[in-house]
Amino acid sequence: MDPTRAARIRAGTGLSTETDSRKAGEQAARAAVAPLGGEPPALVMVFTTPRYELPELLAAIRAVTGEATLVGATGSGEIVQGQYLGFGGGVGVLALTAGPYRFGVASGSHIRADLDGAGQAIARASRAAAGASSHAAALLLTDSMLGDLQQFVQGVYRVAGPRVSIVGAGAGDEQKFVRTVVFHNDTIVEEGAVVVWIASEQPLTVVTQHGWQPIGIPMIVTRAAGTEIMELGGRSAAEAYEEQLGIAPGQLSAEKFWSTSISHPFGLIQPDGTTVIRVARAKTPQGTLRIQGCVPPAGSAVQVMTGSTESLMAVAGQVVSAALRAHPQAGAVLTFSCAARAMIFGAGVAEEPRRLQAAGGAVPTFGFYCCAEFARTSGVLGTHNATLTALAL
Amino acid sequence: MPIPDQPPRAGATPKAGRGEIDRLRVEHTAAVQALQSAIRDTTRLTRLFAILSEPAPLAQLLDRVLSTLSELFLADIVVLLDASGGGFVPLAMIGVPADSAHEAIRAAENRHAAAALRSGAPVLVPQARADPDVDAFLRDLDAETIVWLPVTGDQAARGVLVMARCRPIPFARADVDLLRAMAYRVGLILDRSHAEQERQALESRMRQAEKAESLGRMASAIAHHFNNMLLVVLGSLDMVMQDLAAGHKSRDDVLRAREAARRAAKTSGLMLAYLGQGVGLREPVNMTEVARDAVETLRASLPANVRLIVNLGEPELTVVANVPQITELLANLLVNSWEAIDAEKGEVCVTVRAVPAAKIPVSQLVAAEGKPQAEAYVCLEVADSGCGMTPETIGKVFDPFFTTKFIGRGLGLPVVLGTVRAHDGFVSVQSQIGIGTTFRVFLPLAGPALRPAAKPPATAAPAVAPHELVLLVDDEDIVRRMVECALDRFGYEVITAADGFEAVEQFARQRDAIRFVILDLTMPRMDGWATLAAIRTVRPEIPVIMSSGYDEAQVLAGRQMPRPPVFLHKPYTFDELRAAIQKALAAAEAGAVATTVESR
Repeated sequence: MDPTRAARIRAGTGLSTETDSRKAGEQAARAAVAPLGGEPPALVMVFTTPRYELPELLAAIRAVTGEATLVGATGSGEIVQGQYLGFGGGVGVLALTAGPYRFGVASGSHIRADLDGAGQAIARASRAAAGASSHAAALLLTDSMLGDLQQFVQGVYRVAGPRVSIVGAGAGDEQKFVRTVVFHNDTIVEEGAVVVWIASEQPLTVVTQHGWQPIGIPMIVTRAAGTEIMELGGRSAAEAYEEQLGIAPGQLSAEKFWSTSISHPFGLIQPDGTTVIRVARAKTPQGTLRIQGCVPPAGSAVQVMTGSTESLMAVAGQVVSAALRAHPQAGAVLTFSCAARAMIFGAGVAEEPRRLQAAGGAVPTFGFYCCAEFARTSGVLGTHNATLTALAL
Repeated sequence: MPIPDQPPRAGATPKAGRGEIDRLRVEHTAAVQALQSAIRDTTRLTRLFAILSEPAPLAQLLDRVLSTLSELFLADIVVLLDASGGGFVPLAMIGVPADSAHEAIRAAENRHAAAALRSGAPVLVPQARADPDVDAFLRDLDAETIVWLPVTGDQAARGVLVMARCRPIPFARADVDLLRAMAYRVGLILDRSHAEQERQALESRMRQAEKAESLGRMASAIAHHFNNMLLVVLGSLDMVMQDLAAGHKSRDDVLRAREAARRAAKTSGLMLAYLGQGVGLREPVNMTEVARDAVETLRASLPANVRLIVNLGEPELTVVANVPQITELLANLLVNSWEAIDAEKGEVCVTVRAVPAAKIPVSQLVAAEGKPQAEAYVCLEVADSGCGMTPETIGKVFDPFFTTKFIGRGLGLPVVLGTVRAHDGFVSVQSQIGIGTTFRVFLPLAGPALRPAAKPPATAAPAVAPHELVLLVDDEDIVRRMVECALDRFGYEVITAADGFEAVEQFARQRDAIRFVILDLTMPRMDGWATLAAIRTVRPEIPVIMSSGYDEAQVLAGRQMPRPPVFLHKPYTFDELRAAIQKALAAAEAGAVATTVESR
């Protein structure tokens, strides 16, 4: 093997805002493979607006990238080497050579009934495809509407163990919450997930930050089930939440709830004093709060959080810098930022991809605005909301 | 009430001074931090208790408990080790790659786990890399700091909870104290689960016992019916044989038919034996003698390629057993063993010895429904150097009609199991492919008070007097007619009765003329027992032969006197009938005692 090739991965990114699916795919893919200097890609990542004819888009990309394994997801805005593709904007493609890694990919569809089991099965298959190694990372891309995604992460962790970093994101559909999908080669994986097992001889470090600060007092979740928190401190969850925001009980209407809660998520208090973010998406007529993805279980302590555009934006550079400090030889940085962050940034959202790339310098940054971020750093918990996570390869 | 997290805007005029606001902010922050800390510990308990309060299968519950502990204590690895089997076996785990975990943990020395279990106190290793006693599976996962916690419920020490972090952040002493409380709760879960498993096992055994009892009743009734019919077949064939002149060309045909009928009778007996129904009458016997006699009888059938070694070291080992059944058991084991030897040469070794109950290998026992209760057992061991069996085959060899051989009925080993169960014993099997198989039968060793009874001296059989009157009682017309013919050939005058009422009437009419009575047990209106009682009130000394297609032990079980002096099991041959008559008459002359004429 060529030692220089093995030392560092080579990466190329491409994007297209063409409205035609085939043209967009071909254009983005050609731009992505160009920097590889003729070396064939080993892995291709595609993050795209869901507006395209997805089979055509993937076929066009694969026509360019050839036999390289393709993975990807629909999103709520794409991050392509400092550029931001907004809702309906286009498609981003990342082409990676193998470098020092071996990539193994596996996927499964219609896994909602047993996310833990599916996580194990897909992780096991992807690991088998990659082969044994001293270290590894598992990159997970899932449909974000499968339910409790922590179950999927936990399933992967059962197979991976603590030596394998877990990173990734839930697909998006530009905040419509109707249909989110992931890709495996030319297959649109419905209600499923795809896992890339990145076999490495060096540790691969996941970095995550959110930039939120707690306000109010910690509260115990006294009743929770399914995707809802029913009670906080023995009271109606919605009332307790409103009180923490200084709003009279019942004054926060169901219609206005999302625009308020996105700026004030819950922080699930961790033993080391940090918080893992959980976003309430809706308030029900019964006074319960519907949580996006992963509900804090009964007995948990949560705190209402707040954050400004600047406090959230500040973590962008920090996350990429930390990822590159952990892996100075990296040839690319994968970044997954929550679509809720993009909503808070509003018109200034493009600043985050710029900051990410500024921190990356010559190393291309690539990712998308997602609906649930995966990053396991300690313990079993690895699912986040309203957070930014990164992995340098 | 929330405190603003941003400083007041420039230009705003707060009522309190800036310093006062800053002081309040600091106090607020300190109060929130204290609350966070208190809530952290509270939430650790409330989360765990919330899980424990929800009903769930054990595996699911443990998985959730371990996941929660991982989350609440930032532990990358959490393993619950079960110590009930002697070693350490993972019951549940988080963070240990599942594919290789069980083997890795079983192979580990688990020194710290053993220390925690032994001392009942946690073992905390803050720098795992520097500790050579940390197991390889934890080192391989980059565990940096580890704590082993004994898991003890109210009933017993159940195992060890292992928690590890893959970062150099040791578990605080306060964390360990909290974890001890949580390990105790886990112990209570295991206590509860253990009790539930025992209850379910008991219920399962009861269901099996009920099923076996029902099956046994059915098999017993079928066998009874078969035996009645086979009595007619065998008796009729005996009569045909008597009528055929020596050298008649049909004699061989009749002999074959008689042999087939005898085999059919034996098979129905084997079914009962498998179900533990063919108990037979048991008496104190010297197992060493029984084995010696059986082996010598069977030696003639030994294949030429098999060398038989017999170790009967102890001269007197008494068990309470039915000798014909034990002989049959030994024959089944021996035949099974030498049929397992397909090589040019092989050995079968029979050993009889006494073993204390504690030395019985409980894990090798087959279909045992309990632990050995007696203090000591006689072990009858049959070991061969044959082809051996896989664990799958061992699991099936005691199933009726399972056989790996082309020949055989597939009832030999099931009968062994049934017979052993009926004798309150146990069977064990040990086998290795290519090495051989050892069957061990354990029968309770009788105490010194029980010694094999001396055989009573033979009494001279009274001669049959022609034209003496016999009362034959049986509800089956076809049986009655056949036995009547047989008695007629013996020279007796026969009067018959189809049930107990008829029998009592007949007996009352000719009480002084009747020499003896052949009495069927199972009859409509008035059964054999009631009939026996009635006729003995008239003539207490009358010789009676009780006959039945049911097993003798079943027939006599729980019965008080008056018991019949002779029991004749159907089907029987002419010779056996003749012998029974002679015994009954001789017993009557000597003073009636219960005795048996075996027809099997």
